[in-house]
Amino acid sequence: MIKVENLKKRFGRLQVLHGVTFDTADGKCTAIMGPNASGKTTTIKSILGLVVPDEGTITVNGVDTSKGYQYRNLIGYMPQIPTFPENITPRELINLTRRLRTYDKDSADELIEMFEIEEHLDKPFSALSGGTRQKVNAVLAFMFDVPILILDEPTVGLDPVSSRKLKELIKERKSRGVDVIITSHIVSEIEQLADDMVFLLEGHVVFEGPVSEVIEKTQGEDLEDAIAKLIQRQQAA
Amino acid sequence: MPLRNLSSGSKQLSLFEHYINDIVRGKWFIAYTVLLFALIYAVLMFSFETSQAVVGVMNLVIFIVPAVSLFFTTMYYYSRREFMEFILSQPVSRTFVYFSFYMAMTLSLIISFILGVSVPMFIQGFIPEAIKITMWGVLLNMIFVAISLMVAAITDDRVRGLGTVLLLWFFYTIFYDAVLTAIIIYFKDYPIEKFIPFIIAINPVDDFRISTLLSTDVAAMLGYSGAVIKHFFGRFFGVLYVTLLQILWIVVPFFIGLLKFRKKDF
Repeated sequence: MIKVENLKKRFGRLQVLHGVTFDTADGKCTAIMGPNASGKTTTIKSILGLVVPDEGTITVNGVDTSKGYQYRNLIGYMPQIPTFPENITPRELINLTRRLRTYDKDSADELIEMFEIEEHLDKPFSALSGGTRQKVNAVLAFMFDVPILILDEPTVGLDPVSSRKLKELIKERKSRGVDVIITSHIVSEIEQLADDMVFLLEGHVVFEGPVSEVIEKTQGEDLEDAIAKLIQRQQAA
Repeated sequence: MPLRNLSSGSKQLSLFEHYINDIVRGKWFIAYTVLLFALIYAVLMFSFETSQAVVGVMNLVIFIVPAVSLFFTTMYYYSRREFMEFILSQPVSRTFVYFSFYMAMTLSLIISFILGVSVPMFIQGFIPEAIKITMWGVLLNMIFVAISLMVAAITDDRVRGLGTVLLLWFFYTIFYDAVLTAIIIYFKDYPIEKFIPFIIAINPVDDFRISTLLSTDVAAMLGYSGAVIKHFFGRFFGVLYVTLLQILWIVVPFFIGLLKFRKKDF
């Protein structure tokens, strides 16, 4: 479970987060949504300790994230379109990640088989397509049996078959009680995967609750319509 | 409970190993080592006495090593910046990542230095001089990697970072000598030699030059600042003084960079 309280962050003159507060629950998928520059990535990076917040607290399974780095053993992270060094191979990267973490067992081999990337394991990243790199990215995030998964636009660059496999994997982890946090611009993906939604607009949380509730509240026809109405209402206010 | 828990030392080693592997596989690493070897070997072939060899090698090292340490460290850091986000999203401390990066970069450049400078000196029979130049060369590499890593940690803008290290290199290797000469000429009627120990503290390249020449006893080539240091401190304490300055040039930029890196947003 992740608890974000009164998170504030400023980059130079730009106040990116204005006291963001929300929490996520085990066994549920929470979508962090919002238009470009709404603060989604800054929020996720704050949880991961990549961005140092100006104010506010973040706890991951009860552990204050400002107190150390060990809490990141609890998190599997899939960054958006990652840039891996061109001259190393997926196998080397998987082994490096194994050596940096504390874990019981890993399921890298099963995931490699599932995404059919065995033949690419010893090729340098410079020789891999964007889709294959994204599959390696998925393996790195899902290979440890962690209670929290943070996925930033996870299906970008994946072919429909792999995208489907990844969504099934997310659902399976969710059913095992994993707390999944996802960002995506693909509304259908959110409809398929997310239980709850945190909607950010210019660094403010304008909606937090079940996905079904946002449609009800805005009287939208579907989720896409509900999101559009949410943005319009806030801009009008 | 987790069964597989590498100690922090093993984690450090694995990241260090990763960076070393990544660096030495780069084409620039091989090209730099070969070029350095060829240049040093050529200089030594035309050196007929020890002082000539030491001064020739030293001048090449002064010109090339700071430039390569500054540019390669900065460029490598920027090229791996996004991957660093991935590393930092793992359960590792920022101090540990910064230290691994610094040590890997330094060790790679020291390997290049040994292969490119020390080995040809050994082959040509300048063994005691090779040992001394290697010692100071190690410090020179450590200094300029610390400086460039500090610059890279301070600025995220690649162009600004590379521009800054270019200016630093220009200042240390070219502009400083011109300024020092101008000061000596302009203030020739004043006892400026008292300030020389402080003035040389601002340039680690000059510290390398003085320590090399003092320790190899090629005193005739010491130049003004070196001669003053030798006169002020004597040979032994002169070497000790410039060594301390060089250690400060490693420690201070390293810790400024580390403090910045620890608070940095990725």
